[in-house]
Amino acid sequence: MALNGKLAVIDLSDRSVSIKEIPMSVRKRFLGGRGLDAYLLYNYTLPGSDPLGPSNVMIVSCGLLGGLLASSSGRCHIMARSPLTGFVGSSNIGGYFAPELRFAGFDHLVIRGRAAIPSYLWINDGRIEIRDAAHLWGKDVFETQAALEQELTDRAVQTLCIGPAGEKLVRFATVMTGFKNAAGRTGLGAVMGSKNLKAIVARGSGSLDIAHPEAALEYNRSINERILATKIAGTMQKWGTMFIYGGTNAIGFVRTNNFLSNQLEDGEGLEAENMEDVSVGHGACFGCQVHCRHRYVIKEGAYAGTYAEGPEYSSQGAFGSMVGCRDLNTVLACNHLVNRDGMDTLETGNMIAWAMELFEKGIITLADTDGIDLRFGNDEAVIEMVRRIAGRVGFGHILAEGPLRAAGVVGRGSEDYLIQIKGMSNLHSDERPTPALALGIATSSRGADHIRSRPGIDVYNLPLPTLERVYRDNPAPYAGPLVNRFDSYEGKAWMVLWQEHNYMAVDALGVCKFHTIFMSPNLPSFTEFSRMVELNTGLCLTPLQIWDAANRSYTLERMFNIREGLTRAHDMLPERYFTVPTPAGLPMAKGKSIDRDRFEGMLDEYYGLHEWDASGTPTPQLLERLGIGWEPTDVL
Amino acid sequence: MLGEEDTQPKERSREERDAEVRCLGCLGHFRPPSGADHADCPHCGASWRLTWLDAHSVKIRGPWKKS
Ligand SMILES: [Zn+2]
Repeated sequence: MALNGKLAVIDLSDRSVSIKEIPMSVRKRFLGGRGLDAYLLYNYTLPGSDPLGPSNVMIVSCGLLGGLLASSSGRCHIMARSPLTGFVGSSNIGGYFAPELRFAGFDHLVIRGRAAIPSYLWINDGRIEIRDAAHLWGKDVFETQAALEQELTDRAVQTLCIGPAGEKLVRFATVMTGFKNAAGRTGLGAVMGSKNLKAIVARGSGSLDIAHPEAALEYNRSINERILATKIAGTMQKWGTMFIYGGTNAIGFVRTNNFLSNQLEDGEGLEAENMEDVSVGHGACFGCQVHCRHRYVIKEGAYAGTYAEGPEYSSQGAFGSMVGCRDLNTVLACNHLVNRDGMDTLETGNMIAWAMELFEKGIITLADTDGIDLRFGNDEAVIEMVRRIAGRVGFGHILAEGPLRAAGVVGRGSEDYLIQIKGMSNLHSDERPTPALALGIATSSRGADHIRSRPGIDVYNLPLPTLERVYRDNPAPYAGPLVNRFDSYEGKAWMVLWQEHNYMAVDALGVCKFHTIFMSPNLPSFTEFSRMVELNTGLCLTPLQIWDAANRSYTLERMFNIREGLTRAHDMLPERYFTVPTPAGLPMAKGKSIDRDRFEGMLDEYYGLHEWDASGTPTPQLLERLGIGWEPTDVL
Repeated sequence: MLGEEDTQPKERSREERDAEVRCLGCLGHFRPPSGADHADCPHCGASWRLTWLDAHSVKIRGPWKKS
């Protein structure tokens, strides 16, 4: 069957590899991917493990549907205790690595210890070797992958690797595959660097036996047709996620100059349509029909002539609006640099934007910045700071520590200017006009984040029947209100919770979030997931059982965070969300701030719907019902 | 960003949906002239720059600045 992929526990300290079966009972309860990773993280780490020490584990996985007949089934998930936040470190990555890992016979890797010398893992048809990587240390992401293809004399190998930023333990370093696929958030590249692990290379020739191949093929065809029939898929095919910027900036949802505005005036230069000047086509991840990824050649500046891929909407903000830059060339250059050196585009942009606001306010000066003029809109300064953060040079060394540690070093009240939650910085979105989105970033298990619980469709003010179809009893019962106004606080706690479960299911199945209810209400979710799982794997899980599995895994993420010191106070917005109204935008977005009492009320409601107590701790009854009321387990 | 899918109570054909935009100011739907680079919302008068995915499918790109 398709689900015979193994779990490998690799100890880099004593160079041992232990290979285990994954029992079907565990599959049914945690599915795979992020869902099962949460279980493994909880059980393979001890409380208080140093995120950059040998006792932290790095877990790499494919989803339950990885490599199978499901749309975009190539997602890879990586998990560890985060060196950025100290809480759950979790990031999802596209490309082709996860299916190759599965073809090689493995669904989950648990990597612990620390290699004595720089090393890489070679995973090939059921075998795992720990190999010397001294010759790769210091190489960038692109050079590393090319060198490994050459060394292994196989251009079809798939590689996860770190760049120089991961080696230097930049706390928001990424794990990369290809030119732009990044496990971007929470600093997992630093975890890999701390283990002296430069790369993981997979190659497999195994086949995956699909339970009902003809029916799975036909069903997948119908799902693909449905995805491609949406207007959002057509838009993504042409403009990628960059298309989002035009509308959001027009309304006033785009954080600008760190947090000084919610709209970049005269920001047309960042619009997706400008990519036509540099584009050389589009690319896609494994099994995807949409092909949303830009491929481009930089035309101007220090990196003219360089081939790169991306950027995404996040980089338009990170190196555009947040830092007050209006030149797409700056975005393209910085996008190339963070991918080459292996750093999170959002955290990098946020750190620079924060420093710029401090600089503009006189809280830091040229003496702090090594003479770099960090005024908003200084394109050259932004590019230079990206280089200095990756290399931990001068002031870049401080910014490389991430928001809370950097503010600790700078002092002078600088923490007040961070736009972070749980120690992780936010997307360049401004959630002051949208309470549901604000609750989502406040409560996300990995810190301020837009793809772990965001009810993206809330901003459309959809007709109520559409909201009812998506959120009412689908599949879990809900008797509360649903309100189709994005400025409302009512019914939003459930929407956030529903999206949490949906995205956890997506990450556990190993498919793409853009192919579920995220930005369109017309895409697949639990009902379709249930059918996909049955036809591909033979595993009969009702939509409600998939919902419960997602709940189980999300609860374990919460339990992990509580074990590491999380309290209700961590589920909180930056203070300025409450005290400073948005200064710009259309009437629906201008003059808006979050009402503190109503936000607290929404948080209470969210906890209650979760069956968590008022402090945000899962109740014993919930843990018992989900079958995770005891710990730790040594099933795996 | 503002979705143009399933944002009206009535069922629309794919052709209707693709040919229409949803005003970012008033959230009303309207059909711009084919190939136009900008259009005014008939409901609230706001002016929008347009982007065409193909000859039949249009989206709002951003505000049209009247000179
Ligand atoms: Zn209008």
